[in-house]
Amino acid sequence: MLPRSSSDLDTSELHFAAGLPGFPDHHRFTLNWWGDSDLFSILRSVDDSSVEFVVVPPFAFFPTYEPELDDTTAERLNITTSEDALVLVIVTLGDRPEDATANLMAPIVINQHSLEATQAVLVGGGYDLRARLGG
Amino acid sequence: MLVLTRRGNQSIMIGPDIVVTVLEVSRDQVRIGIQAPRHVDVHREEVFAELQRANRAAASPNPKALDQLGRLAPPSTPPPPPKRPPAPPARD
Repeated sequence: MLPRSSSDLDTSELHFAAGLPGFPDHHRFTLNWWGDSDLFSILRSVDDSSVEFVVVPPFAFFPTYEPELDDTTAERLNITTSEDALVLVIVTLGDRPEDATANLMAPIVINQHSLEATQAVLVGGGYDLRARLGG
Repeated sequence: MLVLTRRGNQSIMIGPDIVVTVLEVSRDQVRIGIQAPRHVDVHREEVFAELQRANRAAASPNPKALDQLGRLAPPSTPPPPPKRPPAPPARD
């Protein structure tokens, strides 16, 4: 999967047909840069703005990350080439900045053209659900 | 729980749109194929439980922790140059 800037998606609305695990009824999300960061964004539910996630392109912190999508996910999102997809990972914040972790096991995958999105568990396993950003 | 018995290549319908098919049965494993519409997520149960927990922990980040996000730079980023105070305006 190739890393892409999420700047094109700023303020557009993403559609999560199946919501997210834990938030099955939230289907519409916006993606906005966080503050003046050019790295972190906020994925926020349109229906409940208190449901929001910090997300980040994984390759900045995990340069060897090679997410592979299963066929069903690719079909559901109509992704045929890696250029179609934007991959972001959800960050869980801790008490200190260095405690932040990223979910590498189930990234957010977005079709950049249609704005269909899902949280997809990667093929192959062995990915860290709580990978430390601080290293 | 509804309990049904199937052999290999037999299927179960869940609602009108979900088909669960037993693909292969071996001594201690079953390979199961699922066809479901895109608004239905399908996961291994233990994975789903973990994901749910992880997402709930990640949602609605604490604003104070969020403010400190700026300190999290990727490993290869050089530290920002120290800020200089603005130059005083030139006198006329």
